[in-house]
Amino acid sequence: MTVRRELHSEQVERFLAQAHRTRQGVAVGEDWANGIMRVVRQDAAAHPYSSMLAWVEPLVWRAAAGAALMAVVFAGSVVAYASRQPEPVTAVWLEEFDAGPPLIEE
Amino acid sequence: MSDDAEIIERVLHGEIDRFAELIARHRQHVLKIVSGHVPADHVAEVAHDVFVRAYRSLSRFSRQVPLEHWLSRLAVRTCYDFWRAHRRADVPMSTLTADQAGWLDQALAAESDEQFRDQADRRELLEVLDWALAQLSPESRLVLTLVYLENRSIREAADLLGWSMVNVKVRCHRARQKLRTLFLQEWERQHHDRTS
Repeated sequence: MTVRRELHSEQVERFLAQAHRTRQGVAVGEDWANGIMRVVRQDAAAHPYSSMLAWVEPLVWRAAAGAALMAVVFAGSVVAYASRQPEPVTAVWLEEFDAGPPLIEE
Repeated sequence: MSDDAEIIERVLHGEIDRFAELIARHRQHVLKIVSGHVPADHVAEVAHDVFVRAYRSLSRFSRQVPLEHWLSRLAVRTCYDFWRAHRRADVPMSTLTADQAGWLDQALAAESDEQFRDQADRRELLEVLDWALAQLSPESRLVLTLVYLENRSIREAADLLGWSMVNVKVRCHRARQKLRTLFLQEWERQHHDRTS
């Protein structure tokens, strides 16, 4: 009985899937489309520059992606440079930065 | 006749009225998707939201996929938001009506396959389906509808929902288990009521 019920619950699922496919589509009229256009026009009137400046957003994203790529390249080159140095890279840099004459003459 | 890309370009350059052409072209497609996910009396309202969202994010449309595909994703995600907002408010019944419970009882307890097949074309089917879906979380409901009821692949469902394939698989499995448990619990409850 339990096995049959388990089996039937699988079949119930199949029937429900068939029933789902018989759902009737909903028809909408021109009023519906006009309603959307009303909201769209209100939006355009409230944000008049958003359409004109539409090219700005992709540009910002591309610039951000470019900056991220440059940061990765820079970090990679620092790691590569550091691995070639016998001393810790911070020590090398500190020496380079301290290469100038001392500020207070002895 | 202009293609979608050209119309989008025009709309983004201020020819707002041309958005109506996109609505006319794609409304059947959007309505069909939305009809599969929300009750019939909310379909027009949700499809309306899909197009308003489409207009608002038109500048983010990458043009790397067809507009229809992008609208499908928007439609599915708008349906998801609908169920997140209506999760509790739109579940009118905690148990099945007598007719619906009767259908489930006969279907699960049928002694023969012939008896079972007799239940297949009953009008209670859709009502039982809606009752069962109403018991699920918005995530489970959506994923179950896409994968089991609409027979879409895991990859397709993941793409439409913006989830990983693993997430879709796991949620799908859990949703199906929950559905089976629901049917069996309801069947046992009906039997218990009848015998006591």
